[in-house]
Order: sequence, then C-alpha cells, then structure tokens
Amino acid sequence: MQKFKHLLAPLLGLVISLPILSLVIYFIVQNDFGVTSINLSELVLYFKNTAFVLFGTAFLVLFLGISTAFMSARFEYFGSRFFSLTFVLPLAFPAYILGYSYVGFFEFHGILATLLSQPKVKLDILNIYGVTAILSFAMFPYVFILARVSFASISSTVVELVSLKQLSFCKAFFTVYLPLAYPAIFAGLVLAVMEVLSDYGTVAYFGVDTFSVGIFKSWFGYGNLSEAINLSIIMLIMVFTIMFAESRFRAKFRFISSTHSSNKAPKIRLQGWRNALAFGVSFVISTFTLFIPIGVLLYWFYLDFNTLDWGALSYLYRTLSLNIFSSLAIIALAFMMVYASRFYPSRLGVLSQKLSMLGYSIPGAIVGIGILLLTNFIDQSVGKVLLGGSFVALVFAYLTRYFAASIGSVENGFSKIDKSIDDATKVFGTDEFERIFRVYLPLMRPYLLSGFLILYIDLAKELPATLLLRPFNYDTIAIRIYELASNEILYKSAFPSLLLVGTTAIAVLLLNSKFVRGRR
Amino acid sequence: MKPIVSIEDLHKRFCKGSVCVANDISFSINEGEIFTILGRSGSGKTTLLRMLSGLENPDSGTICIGNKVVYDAKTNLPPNQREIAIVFQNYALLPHLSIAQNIAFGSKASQEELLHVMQKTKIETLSSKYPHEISGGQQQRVALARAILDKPKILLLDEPLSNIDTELRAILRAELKEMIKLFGITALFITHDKEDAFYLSDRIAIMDGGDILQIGTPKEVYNHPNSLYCANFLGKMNLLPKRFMQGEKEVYCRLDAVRLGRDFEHKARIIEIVFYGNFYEVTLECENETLMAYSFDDSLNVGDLIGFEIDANRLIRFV
Repeated sequence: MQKFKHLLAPLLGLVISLPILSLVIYFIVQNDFGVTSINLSELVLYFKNTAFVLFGTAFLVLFLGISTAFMSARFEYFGSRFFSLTFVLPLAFPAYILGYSYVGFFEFHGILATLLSQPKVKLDILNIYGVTAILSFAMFPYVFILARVSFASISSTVVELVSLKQLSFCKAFFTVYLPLAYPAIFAGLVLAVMEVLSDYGTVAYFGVDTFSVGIFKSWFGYGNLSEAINLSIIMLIMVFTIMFAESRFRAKFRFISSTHSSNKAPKIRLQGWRNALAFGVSFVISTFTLFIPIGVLLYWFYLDFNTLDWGALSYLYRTLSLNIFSSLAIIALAFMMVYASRFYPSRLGVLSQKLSMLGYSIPGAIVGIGILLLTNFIDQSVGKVLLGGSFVALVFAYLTRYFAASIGSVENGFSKIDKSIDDATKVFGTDEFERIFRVYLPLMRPYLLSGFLILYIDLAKELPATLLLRPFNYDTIAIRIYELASNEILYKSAFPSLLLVGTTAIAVLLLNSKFVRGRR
Repeated sequence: MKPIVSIEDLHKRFCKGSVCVANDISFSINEGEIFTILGRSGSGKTTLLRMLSGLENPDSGTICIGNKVVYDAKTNLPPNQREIAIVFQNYALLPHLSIAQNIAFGSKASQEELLHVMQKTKIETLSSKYPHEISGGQQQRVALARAILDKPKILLLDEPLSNIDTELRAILRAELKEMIKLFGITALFITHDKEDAFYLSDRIAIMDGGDILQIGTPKEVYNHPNSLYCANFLGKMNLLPKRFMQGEKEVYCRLDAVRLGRDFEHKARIIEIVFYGNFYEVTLECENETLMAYSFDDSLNVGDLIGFEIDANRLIRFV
C-alpha cells in the first residue's frame, strides 16, 4: 500500500504528459525528420508571421502591462479603483471575440462609420498588425496582474532611498522600480507570449498564417497528421526556447525578492495635471481594451434583440457543465498530485510533476493532435472506436493543457502550510482520510477555489483543442461563436459572446476579489 | 529508576551517506525525568527527536518506548502508534480548528478528560477561540494540552522556546516546567540554548556531529565537562596560569570559580572591565598571562591591583 502511494504522483504525471510524449515518440519512431511533407515556402511564412506576432505583442503587452501596473500600484488618481478592475477584465475576453468586435467596429458601414455618419469610413485591420494589436489588448492583463503585485510590494525603505537621493521620476522608474519588478514582468510576459503562440481563433480569422493555423490546415485541410506533427514539433522547440530563456532570466534575478518587504510604501495621491494625465492614459487604454469591445457587443445585441437565437442558452449550459466538471476533475487531480508528492516524495515524482506541467506552455492544437494520436492508437489496438471523439478525450486534453494552471495555486496553498502541521497530523491524527478531509482540504479551500476559477476561465476561452476533439455535433459556446463569425454573421455572435464573457467576467472578478485573495 | 525510553546504536546518514546525523547513539530516559538534548544547529538533535517519534526513519538501531519496541530491523511503528506526543517549535496548531477541537484532534479521550486537561493548563475559557485569537503563551499551553491529553509515555519538546523574546521566554519556560512536573510526564527536550537546558532539565545530553558527547545532571556537565568542546559550549573558561598548574599540562576553570577580593593572597592587575548590567566581566593580568572572572563590585577600576583565589574543587581537567 505504502509503495503504491509513492507511485501515485509519478503515475499521474506520466498519464497527464502522455499526449505530448506520444507526439514526440511518434515523431521519432516515424522518423519523418525531414520537413519533406511541408512546403518550404509555407514554413518560412509560418515562421515569419509567428515571429512578427510574438515580438509585436510582446512589445505592446510590456508597454500596456507595465504602465497600467505602475499607475495602479503606486498612484491614487481619479477613477484609479475603477481602472484597476477594467485593466483585469480583458482577461474575461477570448482574444477572438475581441477580434470580431474590432472588425465590426472598423469595417465598411461599421460602427465607427455609423457613429461618424460617414458610411465609407473604414480601417482595414484584417492583417498582421491588426491581430498583433488585438492579441496585445487581450493578453496585457497577465503582465498587469503580476507586475502590479510586485510594484505594490516595493518596500518603503526603497522609496525613502529614492527620495533621499533626489532621483527624478524617470530615473527612479528606470533604474529602481522597473528592475525590481523584472521577474514579475517577465513571468507575466511569458504567460502572454505562450497564449499568443497558442492562439488559433484570432489569427485564423484575421487570415494570418502562424504555426497553429498551419497545424489546423494540415490536419483539417489536408488530413495530413504527420505534417501536423512535424509542425507541432517545430512549435515545441520554440516553446522550449522560451521556457529556457525564462529559467535563465529567473535565475539571474533571484536576488530581487529580498527588496520586497511587508513594510510596503504607501500610494501617492496625484494632484492637478498629473491626476488628469493618469486618468487620461487609463481611460484611453481601457477604451481600447475593454469599452469598445463591450460597446460593440452590446450594440450588436441591441440590433439582434428581436431575432435572438435563444439556443445560445443551451450552448452556455453545455459549456458550463463541461467546464465545471473538467475544472473540478483537474483541480482534484492537482490536489492528489501535490498531496502525494508532499507526503510520499520520490525523485520520480519530482520529474513527472515537471513533465505534467509541460502542457501549459504547449498550444492547445498540439495537445489536441497528441490526444488524437493517443486515441487513434488505443482505438486501433482495441479494434473499435472507444475514445475517439469522446468526452474522455476532450477532458484529457484539457487536463494535459491546463494541469499546470491549477497545480500552481494548489502548490502555492500547500507551501503556505507549515511542515510542522504535517508532522502534527502524523503524530496526533488517526488516518489518512481524517488528515485529508479534516486538515488539508479545509486549509486549502481558498487556493482550490482560485485554482478552480483560473481553470474555468481558461477552459471557457479554449478553442483549438475543443475544435479538434469535441464529440460529433457537440458545440460549446466558444465554438458556436467561432462558427457564427466564420460565416460572417458577426452581429449574431454578440449574444453568445456576451453570455460567455459574462460568466468568465464573474470568475475574473471573484478571483480578483478579497473573497478569494483576502483569505489566503 | 526504570527507563521508559531506550535507544540503542541508532544510526542515520543524510545526503547519500556524506553527513552523519546519528552515529550509533545509545542512551535511555528514566520515567518522570526531563531529559534534554543540547546541541548547536546541525548537531543532529532534531533528527534524533524525529527518529524517536517516527517522523524520520533511522538507518539502523533499536528504539523502545515503554516496554514496546517501536523501531528495529523488523518493526517500524508509525508516529500515532508510538505513544508519544510532540510540542512543536511553532506549536503547529491547526488554524481552522477551535482550541477545543485542536486539543481533541485525533484523540479518543472523553469530554471529561478534555475538560480536566484544559482546566489544569488554564485554558478552559478559550475552548471556542481560534489559534490566531490567543497569545503566544496561551498557544504554548494549548499545544501542551493537546500533547498530554492522551497520556503519552513520553512528551517530545522541539525547541518550543526559540523564536520568543527574552522576557516572555523566561515566563513560558517557568510555566512549561511547572506543567510538566504537575502532570508527572517524562519529557525529552531539544534545545540549542544552554540556559533553557539548565533551567528545565534533570539530565542533559550534549550532542555534536551526530554523537552524544556527555550525559549528566546540569551541574555535572557544567562543572565537570568531559571534553574541551562540551566545556566551551556550556560557558567561558580560563586556561590556568602556569604557576597554578603544578606540572600538569592543561588545567582549566570556569570564570565563576575565580573569586576576587582585596584580601586574597594572589595579586593581579585589572586590564579590562566589561559591564553586563547585573555583573562585570573582569580581565586580569597575572605574570604575562590573563585570567578572567565575574564580579558584582562596581568600585573596581582598570589598572587596580586586586587579590584573587581559584576554587580548587572546580578545576577542570580532560583526560
């Protein structure tokens, strides 16, 4: 029994990483190393587009994320509390919905044209620049959230030092405050960049062929699995490069945590033109990242009001039940994994836990292809269709893709529980059951809740893996929106989009609230 | 007195055998005594406590608690079957349970027994409060109540007094001793603080590098240390001036074995006085050698000539 418990974490990790492992194994075994099946000029195009979008969004995300985070963490100004919410809320939007709304806003006879009473006014954003801007609007909250925590925890002694040295604002910002937040900014940036790499819905709609579009084209367009796998492997290499850069960077800036203390510097109250400037900048950023998309959706909703397709509610119901079930399953497994590796540690367990976290940095399309491979293999060995196109396959994909997102909050929670509590439960407790249900589950409640909310948000926005793997005719609300938009009936997508964004917005606000944050 | 805990040839290495934390340790603890393991951090004392409690597995050896073998080559009982209890360094109270629930956690004791222990430890009014709502001293009593509720054969105390400021520490220390004696429990106390060890213990074992160097009453180990390490660890010492050695090579004495007074026969000059508030530490020069002593006399001045004598019964020699 004890032996089995030590095997629990390694086994879990192995199962979770199986789709990705099977991709790599297939790639090696098939020995299709040559990119022979891929058209070289296509490959160059994918590469150029992906690189442009990645670097472009990285730049914009940094600009938006850092400026909003610094204002929100260090200053009090007109509307600052309101804006600290509006800077988080774009997280509730899947990037493709943001994209659709912007296309609708700027198109020929679009909303902007209507507002200006100039029907011919239009701005063509269906290009690589447009998609870069849209993805930045959707992803900058990752940098905002992490950098804000870092800027807010700058110790008052650092601020006093800055004022003693009489540094100008610019000098202090670039030489002191910004470097102190590097690790947080970089962590946020990596999350944003990984999401961008993973995006399929937006780039596909904007007609920009990146690697994830290439994977879909080769699978759905040409039914060519091995080409899809080759592309996935190239993309995996890019992902590992980013992860490697991150770990090097993190090691370099490890010293920084010592300059953050519990003795936090108070916020500065802005007056006069500074107050107006901060408000203006915040308003402009939120207008582009939040107000315009919401406005467009509401306007479309109004246009569509008399012909609303109430069927969207049943899509919402499906999505909710699928996501809630999947999130609960994933968070439960994450709890099991962390619990098992804490109480029954093994070197194998550490390794497999790392392995199980790979999925988060791997685009949904790749995970989807990995699952396809795996289910094909299993179905072929059994001799009948068992897993292909089933819910199990879809939930498995979610598990592989988002396990790391949930394990982060579970690990964070466990790390706050002193090791002596473990010892106390061993000395005074009666059995494992009591230990889990009377001690660890209650102590972990807020962390499990936040892990659940993070999962819920991620799953609700997920498109590529769901598109690849959904059971026949099983459309989630995200897929319904994608289909409506693909069929050029944009305004019809407003109602389901509002329903989807409504539920994720509630989750985002809950996650951001004291209810979850304050009890940690 | 009969031993309630006996440990034989306990051996444990960490880091693939490169660090020895228990080097064939053997000792026993008698019923009703407070036995202290005193050592610097890294000496292996905490690992010893963890092996005794079953939180850590030894490489080899035997551990008996009561009349029961709890660990040997064939047996390895889990912590909750060893009839031990621990008061942890930070008390390890469960933050989401009330005080009464904390004390009763995992226990099969009756409601009356629970009430009795809470009354004796003077926490009966706190039962519905939560750990973060009570003071550090009260937390210690709760941890103690939890530990003694099931009448363990031995109570293990893992540095419960460290991380507490000096004033409160003295109060908690006194309280701890009073409670342990009140319940008549056998206790193993782990500490790096010699003052705590002297105050609380019936016997002290000095540990370093996985070895137990000496076991004895507080007075024995202080006045008759068996090695230079033990002697230095427990307090300052003088190497005696040559003329007091009478041909022997190295003879030492504690600073408090040197008495100062104007009338004493041997004279020396005061070269340094350090003020510690309630006493002075005086350094004397005696035929180009130095000798240190404690004094309460505030009329002493640097440069004064003063008499001294050394207590012949308190000389320290290492064989």
